[in-house]
Formats: sequence, structure tokens, C-alpha cells
Amino acid sequence: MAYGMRVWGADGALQLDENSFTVRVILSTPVTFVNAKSSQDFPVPGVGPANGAAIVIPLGEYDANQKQFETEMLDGVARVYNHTRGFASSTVATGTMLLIVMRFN
Amino acid sequence: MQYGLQFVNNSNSVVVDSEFARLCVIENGRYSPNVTNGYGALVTFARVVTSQNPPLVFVRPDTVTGVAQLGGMRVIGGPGNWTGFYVSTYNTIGFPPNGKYFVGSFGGQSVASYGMRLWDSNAQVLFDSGTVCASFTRSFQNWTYLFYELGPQGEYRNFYSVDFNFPAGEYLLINNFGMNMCSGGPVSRALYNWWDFSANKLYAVTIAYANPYAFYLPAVFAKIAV
Repeated sequence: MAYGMRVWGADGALQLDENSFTVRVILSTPVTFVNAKSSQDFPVPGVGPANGAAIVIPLGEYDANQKQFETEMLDGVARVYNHTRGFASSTVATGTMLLIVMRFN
Repeated sequence: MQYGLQFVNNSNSVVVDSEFARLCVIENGRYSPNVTNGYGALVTFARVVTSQNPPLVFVRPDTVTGVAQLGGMRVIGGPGNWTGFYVSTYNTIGFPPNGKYFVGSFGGQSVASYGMRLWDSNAQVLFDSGTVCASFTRSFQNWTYLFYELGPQGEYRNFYSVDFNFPAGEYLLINNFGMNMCSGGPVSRALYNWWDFSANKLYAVTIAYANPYAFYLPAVFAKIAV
């Protein structure tokens, strides 16, 4: 190692070094859909399919009947759908989930 | 950034700084079959995750001579006090759930008695030697459709995959492998990750009667050691 930083754990294992990439949170926000088949856009400047990901996760425990939303990472925008896009007869999901946009580099 | 610490890697990407929250490993350990007649694994964290939002859970099933099939994931606890998670297998015939996990949140927790700790300008812990950042390995916007099978009750099981050949130490994010997805009918689309160790193939499997081919689920992988 010519320069940089390394971190070892209590077990002696190297955890982070000069070749590591980490995961930075760009946006973390609840998203709510009530009824109609639709989508919502969230601007995330500088993040796109090449360097990031948008995920939706339950906000904790959830009802067995609840259905999850779906995401699409575009250049500068995270889009959340309450249905399966490209599938005309998709059912519709309602409720609130947590949108997380992450950036890797 | 005007002051503080910034660590840049060999590819000129910022790895750690005193400005932005990054995914930190709060705790890691093993999950094993202990509930649901041995086909569910309920993990209680030794160290409670104190973030407001639910933590992210990554798993790496133990290698078996066949297919490890996981789903039904849910995080247990509430804001500021996330105490564990649950994951179960696809059915009662396959391998019971055994493997490694780590739980991460955006930002660290003050746990170390020596080393380095970083705070942001709002006094939130961003890094702590005891809760080091996870390393990103790969991510996919969605999985690629491969084929389907008909289940015993006439349900369609669609198989999707991503480019992942089980490199050592890589874990898959599973928070999105719990809640069902939208289908084309009243029975929603169940979702599993199947680790076919024999074929060296990782599948996402969706199950429903009216099961679309369209499937958009991101896959995120990370590791906790170099």
C-alpha cells in the first residue's frame, strides 16, 4: 500500500482498504400510493443506472396481503411504480414503503 | 467538504468521509432453523440497530448439495430499536435455512472502545471502528428471465437470474424478498431467492397463477471483509 487507509476488525480480518467501494445513501424517504395505477418520480442528481440503485423495502412488519412497489433507476431520477410496469393486467399495490437510493461510486 | 476526513480509493472514489452516511455493518452472525418446525430462522441481534429506518439485511446461505431457497423475510422491531429478522425456506422439503448474515444501516453506531469514530456536522455517527462500512461488490437493476415451471397446483414458477457465480464472502440483500409482488390476479406473486449451488446459479423465483414475465427487482450484493 503506497497510501490510503485500512481497517481491521477485532478478529484481525481486513475490512476496508484502498480498493474498497462503499455504499452511500442519497435518498431515504417513505413513498405512499393510495389507489390508481401510477408512478412517482424522485430527483437524485448525479445518480443513475451506472453508479446507483433504487430499492423499496417494507417499513418494518407488514400485512401478508400487502404487495410491494417496484423501482426504476433512471439518470438523475428514481421512479417508483405501484404495479408491474409493462404488464397491462397488473394488480395495484397500495400503502407505504421506504424508498432508498444508493450510490456506489 | 470544508473540513474533516476524506478517504479516497485507488479508483478515485470516496470510500469514507465526514459528510455522508454510508452503509455500515452493525452486526454479523449466523442464522439457523429455530422456528416454524425448523424451516424458519429467527435471528435476534446481539446489538440492537438504533437507526430510525429499518436496517438492511444481507445473507449468504451455507453451501448445500442442491438448492437453498429463501423468502418470507421481515425485519423485527421499530424505529430506533430493530431487534432482529425472520427468513424462511420455500417449503418443508428442501434444505432448512442455515447461513451467514450481516445487518447494516446508513451510518455507524458508537460501539468501539478504540480506533476511529467520525461524526457529521449534526453529530450523527458516520463511522466507527466497531461498525465499519460494508463494501459494495455488484448490483443489477433487474434479473433476467430464464424459464418457468408449473407447480403442483398449476401455479407458474418463473425463474430469473443475474451474473453471480458464488464468489466467496459475497452477500445478497434480502429486504425485498419478503413482501409479495403485484400479479395479474387475486393471488399475489410470491418471491424467493434460490441458491442453486450444484448449478452455480442464483435465481429469483416468482410464484403466482397469473404470473407476468415482467419482473423488476434490483439485486444488491456486498461483503464485510476485503
